[in-house]
Amino acid sequence: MRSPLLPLRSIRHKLFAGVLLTSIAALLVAGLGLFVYDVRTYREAAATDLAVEAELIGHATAAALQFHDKALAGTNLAFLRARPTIRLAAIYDPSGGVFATYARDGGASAAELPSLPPVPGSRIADERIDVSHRIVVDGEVLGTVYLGADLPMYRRALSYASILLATSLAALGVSVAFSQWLQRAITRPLVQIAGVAREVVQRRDYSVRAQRTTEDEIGTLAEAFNNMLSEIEQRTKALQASADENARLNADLERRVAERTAQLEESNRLLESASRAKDQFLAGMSHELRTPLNAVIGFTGTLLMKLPGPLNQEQEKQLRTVQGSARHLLALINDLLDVARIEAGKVELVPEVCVCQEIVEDVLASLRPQAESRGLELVASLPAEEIPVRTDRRALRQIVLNLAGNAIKFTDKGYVHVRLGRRDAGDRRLVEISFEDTGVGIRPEDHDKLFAAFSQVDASSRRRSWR
Amino acid sequence: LGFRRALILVLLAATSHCMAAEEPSATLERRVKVAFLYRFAGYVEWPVDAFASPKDPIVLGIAGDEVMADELEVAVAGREVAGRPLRVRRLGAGVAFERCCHVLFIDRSVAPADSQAMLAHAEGRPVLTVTELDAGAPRGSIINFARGTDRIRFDISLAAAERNRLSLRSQLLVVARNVTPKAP
Repeated sequence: MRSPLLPLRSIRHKLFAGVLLTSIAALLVAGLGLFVYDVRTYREAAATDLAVEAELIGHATAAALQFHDKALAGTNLAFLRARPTIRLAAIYDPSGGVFATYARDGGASAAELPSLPPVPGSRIADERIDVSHRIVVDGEVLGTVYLGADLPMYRRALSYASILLATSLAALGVSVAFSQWLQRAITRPLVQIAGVAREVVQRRDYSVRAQRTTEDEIGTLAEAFNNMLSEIEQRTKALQASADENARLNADLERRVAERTAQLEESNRLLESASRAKDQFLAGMSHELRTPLNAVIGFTGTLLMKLPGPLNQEQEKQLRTVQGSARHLLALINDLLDVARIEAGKVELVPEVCVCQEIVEDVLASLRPQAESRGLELVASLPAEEIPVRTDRRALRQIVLNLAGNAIKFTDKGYVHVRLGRRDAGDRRLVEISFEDTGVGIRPEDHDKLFAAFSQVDASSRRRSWR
Repeated sequence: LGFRRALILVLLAATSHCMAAEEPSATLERRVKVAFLYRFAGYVEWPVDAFASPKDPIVLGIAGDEVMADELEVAVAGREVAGRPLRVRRLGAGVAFERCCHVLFIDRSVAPADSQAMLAHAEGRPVLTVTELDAGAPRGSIINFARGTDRIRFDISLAAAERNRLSLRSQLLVVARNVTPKAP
């Protein structure tokens, strides 16, 4: 809790300020009360004192008045020199004449004497007090005593205030000493506990304990604090134990993961080398397969060109079958190699700008003899305006070749029509190549499978198409 | 004796006439003495047997001055001293002094022989004797008026007072010009 009036950070200072403020307040109230009381008492005492003095003088001067002894009256008044506060004194005879006078300061103040005896009683005004007393003996008024005294209220108040101040300062000193003792008694155990708390926080050492020095609330606090520390220590130990266990388990897990990873890496490496071996094998195989096949195709061609000699019709027909099968086998091997390459991720696409018409015309030119041999009409609808695309020339050629080749392959009679055109969909500019044939066709349910990897349309339909 | 008494009366009358015709200071002097006389009573303690009862008056006896007696009568009318009223008694020469008065004033006009006789008679009795002899207090006079330079003063003989079993208050002694102490 922070008081806006006392922004003190330490209990020591708060205690000190508390004791000091309390003392000052008490001293102030008591001092003020004493002061007011003293001022009142002082006035009353002064009035009473002076009245008594006047009466005594009256008594002593009665005979002097009765027997007209002014000298005696003067002597009586002269005794007032022992009372320095009395400034003026006078005795009046019954007729009001001045009988005897006294002036402390000589003639200077004698001028202030009332010319007539004042009314009996006391009057306080302006730091002065006047008392006048009627001298009566046996019912006869013999005269009047007048006394004028200083009532140094201000000086009195000043001296009283200075005494009060000195006393208050002494009392404050005592209370400061007392508060020192008090704060030592209260704050020392607190400071000790705070120190222990700081130590605990800084060093995370829960084994330290606050010393219980008192039997009061602070002692209870120290004990509670110690209990709390014990609890924390216990829990920290338990936490540490479980953390150790966790670390052990983690290390175990990590070790096992590393083991597995190593195993996997090993098998991966093996697989990779196997894959590499397969690729090498395939590459080697294709070469090994194509070399004899090229020889078969080449020499069959030579025979069919009748370079070695004439052939009869039956020989020529069989040779053509050999040539066709060899070519088909070569195509199959090439396909197989392509698939292997795709699988191995060895196919590298090289995008370049090429004209669609050129590719389509090139493919159709290569397929034309095949179509003509089967008695099919191969038609192409190509726009006059060149359609350039940025793509891999070889991949596009392969796609067109496959689709057109299949169309020719599975069409017995009629035609195969290849169309090329632009088709724009929104902001995308597309090129459309369509193939139309008069063959057996593809069932609607097989359309989805058509472009899936490694899928074939039902063998039965193919067989049928062969028929 | 009758002649002498008559003579005194005549003398007194003459004196009073003379004094009345005197300058104002003489009148003032008499007034002062009148006041002094009854005031003396306040400073004297009489023995218990001097009064018959506590309310008995204090009798002021005046010998020789009728005018003064008159004035004194006026002055003491209604006045009390120590709870007792005051009464004035005129005394002729050779009057019986048995319980005559408490204060006896003998004017200077009274012949020395009469005055001596009065004082002698008063001696030993509780009577405050007051005289006014410039030459000095005669034997038996307790208070003797003396003309001072500017005012009337008086001397006191404590020895005479003691003989008359009177005690005088100190205030009175203070006011007195001379005080003759008691006999050792």
